[in-house]
Amino acid sequence: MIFPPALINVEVGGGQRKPWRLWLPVILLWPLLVIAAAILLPLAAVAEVFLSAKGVRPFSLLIALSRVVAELRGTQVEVTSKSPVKRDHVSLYIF
Amino acid sequence: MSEDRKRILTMVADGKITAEEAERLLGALGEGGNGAAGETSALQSASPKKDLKYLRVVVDSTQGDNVNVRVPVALLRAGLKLSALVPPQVYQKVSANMAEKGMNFDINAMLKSGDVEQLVESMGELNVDVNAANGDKVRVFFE
Repeated sequence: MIFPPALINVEVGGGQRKPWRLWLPVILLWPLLVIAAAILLPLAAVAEVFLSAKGVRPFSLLIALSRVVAELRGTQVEVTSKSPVKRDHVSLYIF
Repeated sequence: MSEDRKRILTMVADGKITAEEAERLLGALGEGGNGAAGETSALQSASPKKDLKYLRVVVDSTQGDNVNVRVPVALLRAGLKLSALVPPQVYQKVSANMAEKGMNFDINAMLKSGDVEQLVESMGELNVDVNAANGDKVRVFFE
């Protein structure tokens, strides 16, 4: 079973500004996601039956979307500027 | 002999790549490795890599600017699968618009489910090194 991200860490700092860090405990949203899935998935499944002839597959799309969100775990972006004029640091971690 | 050349010859000796592939890789090295204004070498390693987890993009600038991006391979795979679910009418419109601009290729054919797996597996062999004349370095690879 693949779980969605549990924590997102954003850090911005540099120059004369005080760096700040934001911890987003996405894990707290998991119950809401479960409820949303419980409502949306049956509706999407029914819609897929009627729309699949037109090539629109809402149920499959929802599953694929949730998989994309879940696979975001492990993503890491770091940008650092150490030039004497401008010192900046931005980082994003998804756990 | 540079490290890249040694690596290519070792791969030939190990039977991981054919002589033709080695020739192509050495040619790519030769084009970018003569100390010209900018050195660019692109290597497509033919050695099979397993358990690749991340796509890495690393940029090292001589001015101190650094970029380090790590994207899970599973995310790429999921993204490609998601794009394969886009209705065919959309692809037809995109293909038609691209054809108007002179780009004739069928995206729909590219993103068949079986091809997605092959595409992701093939991406694992991607290894790009760019060394600019001013010392800036860009690396794109899988690990």
